[in-house]
Amino acid sequence: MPKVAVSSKFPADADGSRVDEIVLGDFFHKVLFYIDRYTSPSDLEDAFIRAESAFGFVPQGAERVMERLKNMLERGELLRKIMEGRSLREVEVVTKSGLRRIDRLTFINDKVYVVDYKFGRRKREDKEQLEEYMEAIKAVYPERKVRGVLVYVLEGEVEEL
Amino acid sequence: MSIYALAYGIDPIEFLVEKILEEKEGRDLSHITLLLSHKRPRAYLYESLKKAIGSPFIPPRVLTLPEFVDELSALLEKPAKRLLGVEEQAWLLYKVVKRRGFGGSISSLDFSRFLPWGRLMALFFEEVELEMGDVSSFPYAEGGELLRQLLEDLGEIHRDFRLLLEERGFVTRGIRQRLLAERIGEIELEGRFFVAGFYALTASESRILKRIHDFGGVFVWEVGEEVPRLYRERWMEEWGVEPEFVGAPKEQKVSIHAAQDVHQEAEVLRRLVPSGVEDPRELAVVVPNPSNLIPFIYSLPDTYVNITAGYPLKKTAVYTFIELSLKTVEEASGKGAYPLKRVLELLMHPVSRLSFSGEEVFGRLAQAMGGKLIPSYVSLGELDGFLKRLSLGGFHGAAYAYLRKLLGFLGRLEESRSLLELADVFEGFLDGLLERMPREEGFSLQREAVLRLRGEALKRVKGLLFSREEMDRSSLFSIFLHTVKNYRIPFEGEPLKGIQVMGLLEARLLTFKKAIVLDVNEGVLPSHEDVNPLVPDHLRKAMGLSDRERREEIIRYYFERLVRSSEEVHIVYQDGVSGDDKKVRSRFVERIIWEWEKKEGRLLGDRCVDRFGFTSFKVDMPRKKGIEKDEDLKKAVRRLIDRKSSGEGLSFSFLDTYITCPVRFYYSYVLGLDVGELKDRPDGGEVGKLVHAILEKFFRDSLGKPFRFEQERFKELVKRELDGLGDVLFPSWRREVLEKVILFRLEHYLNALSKVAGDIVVLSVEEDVSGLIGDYRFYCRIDRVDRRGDRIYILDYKTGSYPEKKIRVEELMGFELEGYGEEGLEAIRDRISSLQLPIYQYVYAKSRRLPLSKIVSVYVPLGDAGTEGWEPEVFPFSSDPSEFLDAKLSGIVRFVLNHMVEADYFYAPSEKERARVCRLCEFGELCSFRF
Repeated sequence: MPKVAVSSKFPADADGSRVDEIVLGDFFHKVLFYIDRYTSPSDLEDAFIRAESAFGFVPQGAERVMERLKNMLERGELLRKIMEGRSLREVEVVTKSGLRRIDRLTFINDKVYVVDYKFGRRKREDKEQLEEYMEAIKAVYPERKVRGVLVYVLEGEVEEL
Repeated sequence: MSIYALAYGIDPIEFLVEKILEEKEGRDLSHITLLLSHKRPRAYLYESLKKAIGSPFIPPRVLTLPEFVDELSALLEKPAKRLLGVEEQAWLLYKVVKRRGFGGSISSLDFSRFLPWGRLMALFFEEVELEMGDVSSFPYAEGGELLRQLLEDLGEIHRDFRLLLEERGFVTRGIRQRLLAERIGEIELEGRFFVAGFYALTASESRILKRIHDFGGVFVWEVGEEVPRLYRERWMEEWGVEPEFVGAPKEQKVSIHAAQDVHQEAEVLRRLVPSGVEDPRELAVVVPNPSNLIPFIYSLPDTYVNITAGYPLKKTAVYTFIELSLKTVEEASGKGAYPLKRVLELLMHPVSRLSFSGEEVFGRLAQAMGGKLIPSYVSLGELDGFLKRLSLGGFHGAAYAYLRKLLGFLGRLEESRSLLELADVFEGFLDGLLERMPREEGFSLQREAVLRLRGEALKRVKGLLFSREEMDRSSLFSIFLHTVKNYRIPFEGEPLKGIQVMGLLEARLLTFKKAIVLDVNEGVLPSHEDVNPLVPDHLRKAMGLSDRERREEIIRYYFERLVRSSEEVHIVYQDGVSGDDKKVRSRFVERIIWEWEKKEGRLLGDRCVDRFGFTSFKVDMPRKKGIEKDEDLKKAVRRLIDRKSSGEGLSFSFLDTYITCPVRFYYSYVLGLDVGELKDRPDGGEVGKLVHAILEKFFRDSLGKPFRFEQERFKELVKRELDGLGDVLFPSWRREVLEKVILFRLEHYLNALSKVAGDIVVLSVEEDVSGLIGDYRFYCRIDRVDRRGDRIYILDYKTGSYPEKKIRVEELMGFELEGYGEEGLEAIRDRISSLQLPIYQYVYAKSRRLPLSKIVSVYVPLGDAGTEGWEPEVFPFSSDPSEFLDAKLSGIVRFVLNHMVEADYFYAPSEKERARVCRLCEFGELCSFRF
């Protein structure tokens, strides 16, 4: 029998609720991808409509996440700064161990922020993963200072490394 | 230079990598944008760049054209607009047509009946937008009344549709692309652009790409000795550019292989594929028809395989389960009572077997039901009583628990009133299924299908603009199935490694050492296309839209570039016969052979085709004889025969079914699982019923009078009958096609009949007759009885196939019936393909006390009308059968009925018979004896 290697957005052991979590996370990754340089709440609303168009639906629980994001963008200074700056979104990075996708790279003065959005609970591996991304980005931009940012949307928290 | 025309065989990805490296500044290449025809080359590009640059690096942005259009449109579309799919566009068109009463009678249709028209209109409007054209009305259009009214208002419908989209903040892909093409000059582009993989362009694509060209973008083509026509016309003549030619086509080895069917094709593939393939540029297996993907995958060796193709959800077990469960509910008799035969089919279904041990439940129930009088319908309220009557003993509890769960699920489907509610029920069902499905190591197509259905396809149904609208059950189910069945599971091979299995379009821009292209047959390459009933090809061409010729040219180009880009190519086609269908190799293969013949200066015929000697290919597999009978089962069959004979009578099909396939007889008559005709499309069965009804009504009005063909009366009758049909089964545009087909065939027959010498007097139509053959009572429903001279004609209409093999009366007179083994039945089967007309003729003669020699029985094959040498009536006998019928028929009937009881098995068809018998069997894949 051949060994079939195909990518799948759902892990083979996912159950119904895990599928819903993944879909909700993917949807809001897309929403945040569609925000180029954030200027006002209407940018978030526009991005939401674009994500809805790309998916063909709005997943369950989306209203709650939208509220949380609005609040974070209104009140969170760091997140706002990151979303307002010049950025690359859904950036692919070819590393030794394979292809990695970084949610956002924001360039402010001599710094580059490596941003990772999280729509699940905090995990120890989150930091490890971000550090791997930061390491790769340091090699790409050796002249810049690299910062890491984890955005925990459901908890409404932003953590800088 | 802005356009490079690479000779076939030069790897365009490697060429692009060279050009990209010339632009490289540091390790961030995100200032470079590659516009490619599709995503698959991205993985190859990254691999090559990684070798050249080393890691890590940020590669160029790789976008498809729709992604690029979306990205730039975001700068123009403020506020953002919601993009609508085809079904949603059809919904808005429905609103437009209803509101203004456009399209005459089409405005009175409900949504499910409007949907096929709405889809056609939406697709047509999209094409016009992409070509930046205008939609005008078509006054004095050809076609039926409904189509004519629709075309007359088409321009106004389109205008109002655009207004409604604007008013509601919606957009379509076509409109978005058109607006971008019109305003692309306002957008400031940044960075460097490379464009590759595009051949034919729509007007809007041309304008967008021209802007990139003018901005300094680099374009890559792939060409042979001549520049293909569409490159020449659109790019060279319209844009006024000249490409720089790079290299010359390389020498290559092309072989053509013929296979009888898909199984032999898979065997050809197995022999052609070397083991140990690791380099993803070494071997591509191109599967233009993704429905055949699975048998091909299983014939590959034990190595890594990447699949890059869209696999149709409708080919998966979970989809067929959904379809069957909706069919079961649609056939409910009152609330909560479902046809037992369908419930048993659900139990037999692989999805039930996979997750609920349904096979065991089915097996025990089937065993317990054998020969018993079972109800036609089963409901939750009567479930306990029904199972008690089957005396299941210790198995009662398990059977009750399972069936209760299944009936509860069907009940929830029945209560659903909207797409949203229906999708919710299936979501719940899939959650249960995911919990119970085994978690296999590695790739599982069936599990992936369930996950995609749960995580994407059902959510898209729920997200439709009209998902909360309440609908009648039939509309709801048909719209639901239509939406879900078009979903394709998007496989992308990752990580890039090993054999590459892909569709033809996924192979664009890729170059392999060896390519094996399968299914290179007519109907696949190029694909079969239905006639577009809304705007036929001649009108499309006049409007500047692509016609069949142009679409074929595009596919031919992609086929040619694939074939000519590899060092070694194997083209495989099927040329076997399956039922009435003979597979024909593609015209693309014919062209290759023709090129070879021109080069050699002689005809090559099939000498240039490799058959691998498969004509004698045979696998000896142990064959199960059939379903074994114990004494109880034999008694049950005897009771069944006696009950039928003493009741309304036995039918010819009771005997014919057994003679053809005793296993099918067991399912249909002993278990009562006769699933009847498929009801989801106007197949031969449904069309056959319609034709019978038309002819019955037509002849009934002239009973007892000499036949005259009144053409106008006939036309009116056909129209009336078609208008009275449901739109779900026969959508109105199909009815128009059907009307033409029926008129053509039946008028041909009736004209021929009116020219028969002497008067024809129709004595009866759809006449029920019954009588004894030996000790058994039979009943017959005869389509028509005529008096022609001193003879009585019994006529049976056939819209599909009919037994062409004549009953050789002379041979049968000396025929001795053998024992109740398999051979005895085969001996009958070899000599008599159907007992229908012998039984009709015998029973009619006896019931009317007429001599058998005064009666003639014939088939009327209506499906073959229009062919040369068409004969309206076909005699089933080689000569006058009266002596045979008198002396032998009752013995044959008795023998077959005794065989049903006494044989030790319900025998499965022999290997040579299976392809013919199983192909059209309604039990299909549910039967474990199927080939």
